[in-house]
Amino acid sequence: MSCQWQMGLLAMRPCDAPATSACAICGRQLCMLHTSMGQMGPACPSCASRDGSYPKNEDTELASSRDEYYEPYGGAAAYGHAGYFSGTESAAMNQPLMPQRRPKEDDYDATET
Amino acid sequence: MTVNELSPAAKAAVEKKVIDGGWDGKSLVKLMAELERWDNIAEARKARAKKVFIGGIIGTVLGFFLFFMVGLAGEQLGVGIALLAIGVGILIAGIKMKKAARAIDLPNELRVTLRPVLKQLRQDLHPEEKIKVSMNLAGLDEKKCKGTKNLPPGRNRSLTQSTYEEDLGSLRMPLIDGSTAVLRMENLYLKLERKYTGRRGKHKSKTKWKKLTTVTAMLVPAAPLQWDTSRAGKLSDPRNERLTFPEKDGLTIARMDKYYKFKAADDPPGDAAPGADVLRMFVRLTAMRPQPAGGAR
Repeated sequence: MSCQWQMGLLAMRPCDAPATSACAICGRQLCMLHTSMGQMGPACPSCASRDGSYPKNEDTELASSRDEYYEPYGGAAAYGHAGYFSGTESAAMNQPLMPQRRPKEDDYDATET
Repeated sequence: MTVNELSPAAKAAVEKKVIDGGWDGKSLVKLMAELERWDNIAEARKARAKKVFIGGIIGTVLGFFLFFMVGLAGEQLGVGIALLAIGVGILIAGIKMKKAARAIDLPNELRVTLRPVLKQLRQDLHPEEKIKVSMNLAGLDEKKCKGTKNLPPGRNRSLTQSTYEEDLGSLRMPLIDGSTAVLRMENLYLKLERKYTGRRGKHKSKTKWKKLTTVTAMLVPAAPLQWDTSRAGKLSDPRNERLTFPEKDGLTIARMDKYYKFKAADDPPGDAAPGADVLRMFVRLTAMRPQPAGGAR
């Protein structure tokens, strides 16, 4: 059996090193490099990052933030409020071809505080 | 920490205010870590210089007052001049410290945007391919001013708007699966100077800054592929993001532009696009690649 831990964020691929143990929480086969030891026994970086009793290391940090990045997208909370950009700014930014780099006179409200 | 304590690569980046050429992933991550430490020191120096500068202003006003009180009214001219000189001295020291801190400062994008992106993507970077870097760290200066125009003054004596363009540069990161992640950053600064007459007839002026940041994330596939655009609507926010699929050299590239707006008074805004946002842009572009049966994760 080989290690089933998925490395990377954009180009995810299995580690494929020889497995030496299995995650006590999710059952994934793990190599020595991707095994964290804690109260529940051996754990993969993802399970270890969710359990406070496991020591934190580079892999648990990467696994934790990867889980966060792969959360479903959408909703105003993630992308700011609807009124964040003025109508002219949104229009300037969403030109059909290249975005306009230099603002026109009416792109900037001089009296805006 | 002095510039001589930095590694040769970091020293060159700080002195020339440029990072360019081909870098392997580990060296670039290390360089970014060093430059982050350096920028933190510069930020601390800037904060200290600001305190000294404010102290200098207070000291000068106080010294001027004491000069009249002690020096002229109390007939101790030497003491009065000494008190005024101390205040002016602190003010000059504050100005010099501010200039020196600005000279060593690096754009915050390095610390806030680039470092987290490279740190998170280090397992994705191709171990044998070089990352092509072309970054300009010179920061905002008068050379970048693209024009000043007078706006209708309204109730003010005058209203001028200056536009500054700052191209921070780009990073081309070859990934282990053969595709390339490209990151570009541009800033557009708008400086508004308003001169007006106060209620008591005094002439006053105020400066406001607005910073419009454009972050572009592109995913260049290794071979022609059909992007799954059916999810494009769900994966981008039309209010401050733009998703396009331009063609280049027979490849369809997934490109996402995200726009930010920051505001500040007196000095240009130091805010920058968070690295986590840039990573989310790349993750969403990745999500539009055709997924193998059973899912990638």
